[in-house]
Amino acid sequence: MSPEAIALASDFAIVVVTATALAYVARRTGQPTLVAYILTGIVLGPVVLGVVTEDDLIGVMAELGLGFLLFLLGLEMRFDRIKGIVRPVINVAAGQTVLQTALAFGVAYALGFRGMDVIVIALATVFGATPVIVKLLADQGDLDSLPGRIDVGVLIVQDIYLVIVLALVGAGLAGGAVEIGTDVARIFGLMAAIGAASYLSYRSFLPWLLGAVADDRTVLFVIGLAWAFAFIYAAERLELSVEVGAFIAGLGLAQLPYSTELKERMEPLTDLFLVVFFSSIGLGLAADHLAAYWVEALVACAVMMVGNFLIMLYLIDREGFSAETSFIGSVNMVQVSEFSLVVGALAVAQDLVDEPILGYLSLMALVTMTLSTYVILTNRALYERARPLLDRIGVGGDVDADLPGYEGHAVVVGYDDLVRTAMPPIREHFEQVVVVERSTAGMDELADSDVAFVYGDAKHGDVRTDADVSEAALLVSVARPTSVNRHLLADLPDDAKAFVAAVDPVEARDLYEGGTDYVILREPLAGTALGEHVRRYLADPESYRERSPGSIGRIERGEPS
Amino acid sequence: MTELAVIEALTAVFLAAAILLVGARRLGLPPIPFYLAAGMLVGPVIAPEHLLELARWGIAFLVFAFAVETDPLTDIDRSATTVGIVQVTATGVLLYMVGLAIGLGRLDALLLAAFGAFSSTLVALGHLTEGPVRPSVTHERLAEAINVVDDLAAIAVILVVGAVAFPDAPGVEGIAAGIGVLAGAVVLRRVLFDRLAAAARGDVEIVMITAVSLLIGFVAIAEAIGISIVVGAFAAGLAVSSEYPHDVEAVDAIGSIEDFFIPVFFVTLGALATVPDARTLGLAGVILLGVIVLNPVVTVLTARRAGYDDRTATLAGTRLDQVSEFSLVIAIEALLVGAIAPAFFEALVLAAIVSMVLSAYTSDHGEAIYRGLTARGIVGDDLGSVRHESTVSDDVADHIIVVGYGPVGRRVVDAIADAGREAVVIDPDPALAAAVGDRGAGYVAGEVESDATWTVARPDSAALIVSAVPDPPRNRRVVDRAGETDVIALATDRATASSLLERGATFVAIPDALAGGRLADHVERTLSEEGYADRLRERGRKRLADVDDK
Repeated sequence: MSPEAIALASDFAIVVVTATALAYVARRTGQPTLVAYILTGIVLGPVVLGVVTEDDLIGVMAELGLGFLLFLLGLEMRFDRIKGIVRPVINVAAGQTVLQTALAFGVAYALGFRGMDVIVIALATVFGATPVIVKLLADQGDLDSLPGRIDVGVLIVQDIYLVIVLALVGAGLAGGAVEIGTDVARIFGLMAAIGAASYLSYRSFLPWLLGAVADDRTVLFVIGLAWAFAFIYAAERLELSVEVGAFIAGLGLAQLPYSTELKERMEPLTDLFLVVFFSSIGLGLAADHLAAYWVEALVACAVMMVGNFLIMLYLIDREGFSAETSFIGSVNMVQVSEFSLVVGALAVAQDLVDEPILGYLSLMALVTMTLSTYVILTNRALYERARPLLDRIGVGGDVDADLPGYEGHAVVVGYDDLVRTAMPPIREHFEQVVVVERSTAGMDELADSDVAFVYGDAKHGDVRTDADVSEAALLVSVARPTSVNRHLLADLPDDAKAFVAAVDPVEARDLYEGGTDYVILREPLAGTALGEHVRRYLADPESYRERSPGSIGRIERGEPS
Repeated sequence: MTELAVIEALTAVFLAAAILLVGARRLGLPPIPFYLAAGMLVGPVIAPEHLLELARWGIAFLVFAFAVETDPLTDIDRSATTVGIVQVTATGVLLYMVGLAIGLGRLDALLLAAFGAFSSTLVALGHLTEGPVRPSVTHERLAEAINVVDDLAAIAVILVVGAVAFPDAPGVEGIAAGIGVLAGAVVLRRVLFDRLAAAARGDVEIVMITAVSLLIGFVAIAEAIGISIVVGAFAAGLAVSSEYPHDVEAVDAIGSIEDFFIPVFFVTLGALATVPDARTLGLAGVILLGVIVLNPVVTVLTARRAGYDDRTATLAGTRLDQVSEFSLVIAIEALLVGAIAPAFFEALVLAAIVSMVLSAYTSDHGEAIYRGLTARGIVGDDLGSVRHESTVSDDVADHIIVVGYGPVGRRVVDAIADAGREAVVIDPDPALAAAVGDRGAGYVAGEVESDATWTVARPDSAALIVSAVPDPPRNRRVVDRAGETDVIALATDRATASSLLERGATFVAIPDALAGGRLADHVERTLSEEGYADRLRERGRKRLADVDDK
């Protein structure tokens, strides 16, 4: 246990610092940070400098990064998000999986790959990289649009498919049909067992447990981590992949109201470990591997990007969505999923294919992710260009389904006595009232009313999206700290009315400058009302005393009498 | 170490931590002693060596986050800081000599001194849970200031001990280099960090890994010089602190990573300790005596010398009777380089657990402890100091006592003045005397818990008592002291409100409900009256301008 043996300035440190530097470059050039992280591994690994090798700590962190990413994806599987478009989404996802696998197989075969190489390439070439699409759409505020929801839905269904593929590749794809069949059955059996454990917990003690601690975000977070680790460890022990365990762990928590909050807490940690994970892919590549099939990879990129776009366009259009929805929904999905690299790396680890195949997949991921960034950022402009052509070939239906969501509603952030007392006029004037609150007390209280409840902290973008702040007509916020209100006001439409609480005059003035209609300063408001009581008392103590034996009902309304 | 072994250890760490945390949460106790206890539970089944590297990240993030939140150059309250410096020095020197007297080596004695002298910011202020931090009361402000001094002194001790007392230490040059690193960090904050944050263009992920990279960079420099990584982590925190408060999401991102590594650190630390033998228990007892008896006594004596009244001094003392997490950091660093014996380390960890749990109790029951001590004549009353600061005549009568001169109390005093009556304000902050006087009201500088305050305020001859602070224990005290006089009070919730009514209050209001009633009115009229929103906005802005003029 000498200090040298546990030096902090390890390879891990070099990876993070380099990734940071490259992330700034990526930011300047508008690339996704993910590309910067993969490049980090390539620069530091044997391809360019050869200064970092994969040591144990990097291995653990990479493993955790991937585990947490799948845990997050599981957490994100909120069925209510895609309610109403479930059937078309499943049709699109199923069709896309089959057609793109066939296309990938065909392209790989045509490019001269044979045997296990073709199978791994076909299984691993999955289009639609969740982090890339979700991050860019969220930045543009399009995550909640119809194309955005379709894409997210398809990505979720695809993730289930990928978990199965990962499990299969993880088990080695080995042996004859019978052995593979047994393997698949064993995998499904174990997955079902883990899934059942997760589901039973969700039905029995989880809601109670999380409800009891949800007021303290640190405790909620530690319990979430313990939950994830328990499943990750169980999956490892059962020789399923870490990914499967983590994903199912996330599913168990996803339908609980605390999932959005927990996901936001997990994200930074996951981001940090993912830096290591994506770098570790690059670290594992050698120069000759990356370049081994560079011509084939570039050809495949071109064919697959166009091909997959057409597949998606056909599938979404077939469900009868409008031309714009179909176009944007498909043009977003033209990059190879980051899971291709996971599947590829796993296949190499299982000795199914050699490293040049992983190099081929990595090059494809690098190229398509980079190009697709520009495509997603300009998707509306691209649509305007393509419109005449789409009209001519008859793309476009009219089912743009009514999205479940709020519009012209009142959003109330924070639920305390102040808000509770002010609720009656809000509920009277609005059919839809959404309360956003991060303690659970209000949830129980509102459970039986027609007021919708979103659990979480409004500083998180996802929570604001859940409440459709950008479509609201009234905002009443007692959120803390101030910056949360700035986010809320930025999201709110210009013509909506905003009542926002401040703690002091300085903050109040800032809020007025920012366009707030009325700044709530709760203590002066209360003080004025209390002063009114004192005045009444002093005017006639006898009658005040007589009329005041405090009835709780009056206390609630804060009225003198 | 294999990946599976590490994941197995982490799984055990988080399961144990989660289970015990639920318990801690139920009992309303701070999490750190429960992390340590979780470590002692899982210690036998995991191999803590696997976690040492991750645990060091825990130390780094702990110190880093502390430095990000502290701005040592602006947070200074001079007299409280003096108390802190004297307290740390006196307790430290005394315990060091005790340590030598009972036959400890020099480094062991120094650790004994550190464990006794430093108290914990995280435990005392509840930073790790989401308990409200409300340093509005004098003794809480005093305790907080002493804590900041303790933490800074702890980092200085870590720097010095790491540089000269450990095997293979770089010596005095190391201290100089450490100071240079800290100075460099402050320069970096001025010239570099703002630019980096601007270049990241609000991307939380990039700001987060930038902060982590700075942390790594400074820790690497510290390791290269051969001084403690704590100094590097503290410097890194100084380098980023300027821009952070403005960006919740980035602070939150760091917080999430910190929340991962902190349980790993404290649980690992607990896991390194094993079942204690008799000698270890004896040592732990000596350390505990230093922490929960000697340290508060020295604090009280010092604070009294500095002019604080007995009550404030005693209450501050009851908040400073636990081992600091930084002392634990010194201990684990010493253990890792083999500078202290494992048995001594176990004694230190045991003392930390016990003192942290005990201190949650003493800070909740400080008032009772103070009263017990006064009754036995150990500490005195504070009538003299209250009378000295107050501006009320000895024969004041038919006045209206207003407890608390915050935004609520101010408006109540205005209402009383409008009615042509005399108000007497009770508030512990002497700085308010002038403002109260301007409104034509009398002023009593004291807390409602103190008997002296009521002796001066004369509730029995008052016409009415209005409590403008919605703090349950204080309001119970107000109602109890009111005698026959009517009381209008505030309560935070319904249950408290009815208990106050039962206790004898004439009228109880919930301030948020009072305010909510007015808000409901504004909302209703905004939604139904044309042009009301504009008028409301104008009126609100104008009133703010009025506040400025005053």
